[in-house]
Amino acid sequence: MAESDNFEFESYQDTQTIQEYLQSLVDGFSSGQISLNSERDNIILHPRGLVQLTIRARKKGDDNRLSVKMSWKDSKVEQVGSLSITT
Amino acid sequence: MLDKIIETFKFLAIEVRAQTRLTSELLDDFSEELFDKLASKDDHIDNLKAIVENECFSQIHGTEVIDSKEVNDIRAIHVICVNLERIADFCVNAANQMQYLTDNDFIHDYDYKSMFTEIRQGLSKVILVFQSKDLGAAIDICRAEYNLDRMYKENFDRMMALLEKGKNTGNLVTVIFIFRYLERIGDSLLNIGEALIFSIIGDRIKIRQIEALEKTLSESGFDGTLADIDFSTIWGSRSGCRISKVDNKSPSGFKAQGIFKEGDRTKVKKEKENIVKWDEIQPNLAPKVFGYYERKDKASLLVEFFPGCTLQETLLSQGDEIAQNALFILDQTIEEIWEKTKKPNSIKTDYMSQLSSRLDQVIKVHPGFYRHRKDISGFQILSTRRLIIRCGEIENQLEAPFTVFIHGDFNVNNIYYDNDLQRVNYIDLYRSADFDYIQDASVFLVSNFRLPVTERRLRNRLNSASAHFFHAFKKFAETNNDTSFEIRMALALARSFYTSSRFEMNIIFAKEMYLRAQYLLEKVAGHGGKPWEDFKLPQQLLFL
Repeated sequence: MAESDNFEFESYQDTQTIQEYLQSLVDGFSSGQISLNSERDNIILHPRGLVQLTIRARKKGDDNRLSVKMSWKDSKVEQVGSLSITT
Repeated sequence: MLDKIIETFKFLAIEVRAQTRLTSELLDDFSEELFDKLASKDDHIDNLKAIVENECFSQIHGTEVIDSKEVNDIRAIHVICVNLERIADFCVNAANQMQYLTDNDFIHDYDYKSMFTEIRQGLSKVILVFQSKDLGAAIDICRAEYNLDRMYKENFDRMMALLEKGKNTGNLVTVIFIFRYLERIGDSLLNIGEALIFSIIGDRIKIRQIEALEKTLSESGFDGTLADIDFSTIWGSRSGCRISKVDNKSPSGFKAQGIFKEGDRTKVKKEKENIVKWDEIQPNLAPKVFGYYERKDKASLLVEFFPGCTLQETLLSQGDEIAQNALFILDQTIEEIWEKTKKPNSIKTDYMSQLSSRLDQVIKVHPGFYRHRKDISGFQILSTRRLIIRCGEIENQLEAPFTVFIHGDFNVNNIYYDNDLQRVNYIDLYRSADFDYIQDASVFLVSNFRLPVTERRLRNRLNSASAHFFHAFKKFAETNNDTSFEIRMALALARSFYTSSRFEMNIIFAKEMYLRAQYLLEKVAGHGGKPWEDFKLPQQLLFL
């Protein structure tokens, strides 16, 4: 079974603080590294190449939901390089 | 079916009583033949007890519908029979010790006969009391234990004095063992007496509590007997106090309904003293004290029972008009009391230390309700403990600018509303003191929030009550120039949301309270260094 690291954080925030959280993620995308650390779990992500982006929104009565999901696979270019093709 | 159980129970009681007589005779004049008789009877007693036990359980778990009175009787019979059988065992054990005496007459120097008389007198009443439901006689059975303890102590002291002289040590130790078995028979008699009390009043009330009630009633000027008292609704144990509702059975008996509390002396005494203070501040707000009695570290209090509903019941089960009336009158009452008791001394609050002291209890119930330090790409999130410390430091720089006389546990369960009299009443007043009004205000708001209501209509009612009272509290703050109201309220609400989550087993609802508390703590911590009066509490947190 593949090893899996998880990081989870759940909270209430006001919209000002939400922007600060999002900004730190934006900075992570810019630098190519997003680190998520806690006393128990540490994950470092390197978003690069193709990233699948899913944005979902729902409004039902008073309830609103906006989910933004990004997923990607770590690049395997080095492994591809071992195959030689001649014509 | 109950008749059959009672029949076997009677046989058992008779056999055990006979067994105690036989043991006494055996101590008078030991013989192997008598001991064999005693031992063989013991097997018969074991069988009788097993029969009663089987019948009790099959009756309770059978298909036949039985009322609560019968269930109480069956439970009492079971406890009594277990203890009767134990008494028979103690008899055999005591008699068995005789073989270790080098001289059978040695025991005759000590007064075991009086102890057997006391035991037999107790045992002779068991069936009678069970049938007559005579509470006084049940209490007499309990008291046999006191008498047996006293007799044991007298004999024991004599034996110890002789042991110290170093003579006849073997025989003395053997006799001590015998007397110790007789003393343990007393413990079983006490259990039997308490089981009989249970079958009479339907509550597991201890003899100590009965005596406290007797004394408290006599303090209140009640000249009847306990038989005139009807113990009805039992309110269980709260804050370490046993609380029962006491009512009058006969017209000549106790004139009013009362709440009987018995528990830790400091708490009960404090409650009584606070009731006196409340009465001076606002007559008819706190319950009247009918009686008070202290004994060692315990005290008991008999107070007036309010016939209305708690505010919780009013909000959840009454129509809009009555609920509105209740809230209107409460609003007026609070304002009147706060204005009347306001003292211009500023005071430090302790909301964060209250939270710290209960944090472990919350985590015990909800292990996930603790946040560890986190870092999201450089964005720092404090651990819960760090956050509480930071908020505690901020709280330390704040002061409530004045005090009022607060209730101390101002939740919607501790407020009564009588629609006929258009009056509210406060109960459970042992924590009342001169303190920050936000203590009461925050407890009230969160107790309203945490009522387990999902139905939208009722939830809207609770939300609008919270909104109304929050505005009323804020207005009071403004009128009294309390500029740190919102930040102190945030700390106090965080404390109440967090600590209340331990009473909520619905994890989604409990998490709502935990996350709200975390948010408030973060918001206060983030405000450090800015003027207190600029802090804005998001009211939305009070609504669901």
